[in-house]
Amino acid sequence: MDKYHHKFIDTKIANTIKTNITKMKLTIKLEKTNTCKKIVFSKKTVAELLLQLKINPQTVLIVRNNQVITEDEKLKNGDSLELLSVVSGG
Amino acid sequence: MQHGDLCAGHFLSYFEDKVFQTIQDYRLLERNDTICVAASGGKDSLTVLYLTKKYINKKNLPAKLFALAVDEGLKDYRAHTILDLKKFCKKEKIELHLVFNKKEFGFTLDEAQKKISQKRPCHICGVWRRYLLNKEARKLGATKLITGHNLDDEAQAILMNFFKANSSLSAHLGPVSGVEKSDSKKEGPFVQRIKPLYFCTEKETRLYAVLKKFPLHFAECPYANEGYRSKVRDMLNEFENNYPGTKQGLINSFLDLLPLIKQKAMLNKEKLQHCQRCGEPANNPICKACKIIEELQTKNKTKTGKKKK
Repeated sequence: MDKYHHKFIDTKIANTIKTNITKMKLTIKLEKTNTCKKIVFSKKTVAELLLQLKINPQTVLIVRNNQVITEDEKLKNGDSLELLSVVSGG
Repeated sequence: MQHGDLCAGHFLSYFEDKVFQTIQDYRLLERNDTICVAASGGKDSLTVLYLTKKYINKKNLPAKLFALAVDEGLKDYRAHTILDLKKFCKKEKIELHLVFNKKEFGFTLDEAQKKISQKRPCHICGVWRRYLLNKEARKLGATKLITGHNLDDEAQAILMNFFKANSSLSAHLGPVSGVEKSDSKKEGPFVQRIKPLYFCTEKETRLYAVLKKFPLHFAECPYANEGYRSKVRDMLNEFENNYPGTKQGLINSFLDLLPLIKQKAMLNKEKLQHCQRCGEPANNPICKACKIIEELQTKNKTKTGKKKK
């Protein structure tokens, strides 16, 4: 195989991976700021979401459909989450 | 979280067992105690209030229980949490007493902070709050004063004292306050402070309050991010996230050292005095609470003098 063939295969693999990543839309309500925002999320778990939002997992509880969920929980398109602040302060 | 992935029911049992075990292991309560719970209406105080009542009922103790709240006069904050507390106490049939900074000291915390901005609000708040809680709890006949301090609060306090080389203050930490072992038996000017949530993290406590559906509305103290404590809190949370078990490790190490710290504090213990102004216990002729009032009144006089000119 020549180098052009290699490049062709690499691009093909990259495109396959790209199409397999499902982008989901999530609604996030932040208790601390009393704000709501819609975001696009391309990974899977709560832990990965917190990483994307740059939120330390020690400081929040995550609620979905009135149930507290753990950080390894998988999210799905259209999920509506509430992030409760652990630190009340004072 | 320390509890791993427990279901709601098992988490509630785990949490309650941990609190009850702390009460037993450290002999925090005695049969005939009159128990005052320092309450603010936040997650920690509602949880500790609820669990103290549950413990008394479970053990069938003849102990008396009531809640005591301090209204510092923090705009858009304290009124909300006190409302939650009132609802909670009514539902749980717990007697509630309220004291006010304005009535006791002549200034709300907001007013005091505006006048002496060089003093951190958390310093003024802490001095006045400790003063009022002890004074009122003693007046109401309390033999124990329960606070909602959790593992995070304690870990922060330990680090803050170490960073500032305040080892004498560290001697007062631990699940039971006081330097001497016999402090609880003495009838002195201090009501012994105890911390049943000592081994519960802040996150666990919030989870417990959420699962129990306590009437809580999120409210953050307007000065929450101003103090030294908030920086230490963020640092500890960062460490806990990268190295799970950091906070618990800190607490365990501290408890190992605590007898030595207390021993040292006993050697350097100064004779307790009584404030010349208010008669409350103090380390100096004038207590810290009265010194703050004095400073505020001086500022008032200076301002009035300037206006007259």
